[in-house]
Amino acid sequence: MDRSATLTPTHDQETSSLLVDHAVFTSVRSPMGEGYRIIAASGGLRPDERMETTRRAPSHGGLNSEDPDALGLVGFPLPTGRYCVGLVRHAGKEHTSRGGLRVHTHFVFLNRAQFAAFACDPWLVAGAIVAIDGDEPPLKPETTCPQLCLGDGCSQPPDVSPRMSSVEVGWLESIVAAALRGDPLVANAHGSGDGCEQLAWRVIPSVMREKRSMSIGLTYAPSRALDICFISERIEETRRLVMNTRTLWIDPATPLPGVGAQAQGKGQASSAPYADWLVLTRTTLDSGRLGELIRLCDAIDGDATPDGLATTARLYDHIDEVSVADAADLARLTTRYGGFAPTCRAQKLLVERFKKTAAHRAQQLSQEACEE
Amino acid sequence: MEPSATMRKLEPDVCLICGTRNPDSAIQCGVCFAPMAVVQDAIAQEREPEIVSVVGESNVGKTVYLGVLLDMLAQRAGDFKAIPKGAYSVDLQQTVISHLAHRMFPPKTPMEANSWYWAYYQVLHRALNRWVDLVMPDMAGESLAAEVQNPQTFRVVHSLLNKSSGMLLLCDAAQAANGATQPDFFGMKMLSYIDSVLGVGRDQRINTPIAVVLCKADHCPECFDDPEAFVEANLNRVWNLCENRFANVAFFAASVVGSLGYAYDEKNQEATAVPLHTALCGILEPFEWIVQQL
Repeated sequence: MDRSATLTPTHDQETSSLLVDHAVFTSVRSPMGEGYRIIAASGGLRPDERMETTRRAPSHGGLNSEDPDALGLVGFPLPTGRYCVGLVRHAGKEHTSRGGLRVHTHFVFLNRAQFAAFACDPWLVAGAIVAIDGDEPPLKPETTCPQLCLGDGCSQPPDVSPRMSSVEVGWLESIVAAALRGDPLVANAHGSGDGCEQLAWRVIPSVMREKRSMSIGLTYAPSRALDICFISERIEETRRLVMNTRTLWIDPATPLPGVGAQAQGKGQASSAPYADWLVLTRTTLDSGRLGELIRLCDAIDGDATPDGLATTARLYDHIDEVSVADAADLARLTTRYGGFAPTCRAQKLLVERFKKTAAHRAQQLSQEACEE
Repeated sequence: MEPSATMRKLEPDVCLICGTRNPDSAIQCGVCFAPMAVVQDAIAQEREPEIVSVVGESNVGKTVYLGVLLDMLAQRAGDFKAIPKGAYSVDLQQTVISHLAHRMFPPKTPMEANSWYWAYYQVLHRALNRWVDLVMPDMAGESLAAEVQNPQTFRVVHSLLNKSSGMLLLCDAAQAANGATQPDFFGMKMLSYIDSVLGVGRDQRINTPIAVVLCKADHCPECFDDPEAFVEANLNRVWNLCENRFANVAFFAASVVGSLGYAYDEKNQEATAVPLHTALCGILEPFEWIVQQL
């Protein structure tokens, strides 16, 4: 499936400031041999990063589609703390007369700050690679090549309609639930609109995105050990592979057990980990506040434990609550957040907003009292 | 067929290759991706199978060699009679034979271990009146190369070689005859890796039988006359290492393709090799030698 529409070039090279290490993994004939391997890499690539990249890189038949213009994306954290994003595409015929197309992956290696400059979103990183490589993926073997400039970064949200059906919301919430728990999953995105996979990724808290591996457009291969795989072709074949393993199969028609039910119990205490956060996710998606949810998830750069996310979710709810609170509730909530110590940027922003809203509400109540 | 006296207790949920315990319903091992059917079949046979690994660099012809070999065994070639255990064991030979029949080479083996073909055969060597159960995986050359270069990249390779009772090291005779050093260096790296995996003392030599097979020998028919002399002359580094570290090595030449044509795509300026017909030569001998050594 051609997902090129979602990989929009993001920057001109002139404005570049993000210098990253990169590597090309493909199959070419060279004096050092042939077959799939890292054929070119910049000098900063460490041996353990090479190993991890080789282990996870797609090889022959790795793209889900036989289309010469097919695109795929793979992203995974590395043991060194960097995050690796690979743009996968076909680059002509396989050169050994064995049939099929040559799979080419251009990997970039981003440190935490560099990945954060792209909102921890591999789609946006891939957009920057597309802007550099153009239509001609590099095939020249090079022992050492210079670093790559990826521009200034980008945090553009996916271009999707904020109004979603309950089926789409259930699908997204199932993915978030599994990703938060750290369960590996394969998400069937067949028939979903463009950008839905990127959206699913962006509604996972940012600090979790840094720790989760993902792929889209690739043939599902358990040996690649990726956490979140989006597939839109070879559905039945993949479902059979996933069956009877610990990897979850997430289908729009059948959300994970418990998903959705939690939303109905909004305001009621639930003992399930992340329940409060999932309720927040669902209600925000249901009410079409997609941009707000994405901004909130982007800002969760710390504490994403069940307690941490529950605190963030409560804080988010309390902003609404405080805006209509009576004097007693206002006093209670204001006291609660008086000495609050935020554990992530999202909480810091929400507390600031809470304090502004509370101050505004206090002013309103005082005006009402004067009028009476 | 007597149960082997030395058979360890196999459990249906414990992978035969890496020893990982898997859920009862697992189709492949969750760690090394070997089919769990292998261990289930082994339990049914009441005999632990011997693993014979075919190793060599990418595009040397491992898939073609193994596919053709299995097909010959299934057709009772030479002194052999072979019974595949499970349909999965037939997939490789079917893929290879059907592609060659259509004048195509079989597709490249992906690096992803979950996509590798595995064959489990019960083989009777009629002359020796001896049954051997053999498990032969078709590993990707790139995975072997990556593991050899950086051990622990593909742990399944380590587990497999460590458990192998015999190995076939395939070298590209055509390249070696043309003076290319790559087959010699790869062979040397592979043997050095095997040496470290099997880990015997520096004053000892490894006893695991290793058949060095000169593939694509139709390009240099002289290597059929004296494969060992060919290796000594053209793959001298491999030959020296074999002599120094391996006690049980034999050299063979093999060829599958009788004649090769080239189809030229003028638009893309690409030439594609077309196997016009097969003329099997020297396929069975290395395997027969390995079976004799087990």
